[in-house]
Amino acid sequence: MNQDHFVSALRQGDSTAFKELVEQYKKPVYNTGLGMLQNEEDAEDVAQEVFIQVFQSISQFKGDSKLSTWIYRITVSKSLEFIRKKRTKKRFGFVSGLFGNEYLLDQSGKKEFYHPGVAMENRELSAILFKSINGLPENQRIAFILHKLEQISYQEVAEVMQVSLSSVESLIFRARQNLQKELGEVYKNYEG
Amino acid sequence: MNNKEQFIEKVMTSIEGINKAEANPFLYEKIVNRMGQDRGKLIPFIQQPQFIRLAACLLVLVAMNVLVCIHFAEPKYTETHTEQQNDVNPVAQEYLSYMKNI
Repeated sequence: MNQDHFVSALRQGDSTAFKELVEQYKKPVYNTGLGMLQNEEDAEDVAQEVFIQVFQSISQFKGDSKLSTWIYRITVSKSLEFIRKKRTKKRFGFVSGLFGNEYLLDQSGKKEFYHPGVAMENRELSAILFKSINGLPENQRIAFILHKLEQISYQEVAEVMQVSLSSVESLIFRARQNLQKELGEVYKNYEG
Repeated sequence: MNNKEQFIEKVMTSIEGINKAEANPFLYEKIVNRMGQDRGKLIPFIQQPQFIRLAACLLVLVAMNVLVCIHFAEPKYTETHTEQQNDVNPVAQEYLSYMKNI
């Protein structure tokens, strides 16, 4: 089924087409979410929200980009929304705790993240890298994850992020620089 | 390359050749279930009598507030004291002339 027919079927609420959409895109959606959120449960939660959003907004897809680009864009957006909601919950929980309500520290941000797709011998080092990726400015993090983890081209990253190709090149360059700087600091405390 | 640079290089390349993680094989079913739950939450609530009653009460409250605001916004007494006296005077004069005639 070519893209136009596929989108047309989705617009008509065709459940077979929707199932095919989920099967075709669940891996990239889940993996992008996993890179952004560094938590398997959260990534699955976001993946569900992404496909629901795609289903509800398919009429808004104009076809001026690839369907995959549009879906990546929604995935990044939903992941960022999830992160912001989590931060707000933490802040509210802290303030609520000041008034005597029980405040449960969310430790998930402090846990090391072991990506299931990383080779065993690289697990510890990759956990250090993911922690450093978490500290990158938002746009650098998005560009780095899309290019390095999702392995999509600079051109497609630019289309997903709706920025120029040179902006993507600059973002990834600065992301690498920042990561190297951060890792230099980590090395001082590293006992590997 | 010193130890620090080696460390940085090792960490930066630790995700080279990373495999994609597998998504939940039942993701589609979970999505459909969630969409059904979301729809279930929204429609019955709107149709429930409590919602309709609450909406009606709120409408009445808003309408009353609007009426009160309009009522107090309109100036009632636009006439000056002199004009009020002029309105009253013909009546008083007529009374006085009546009393004189009695």
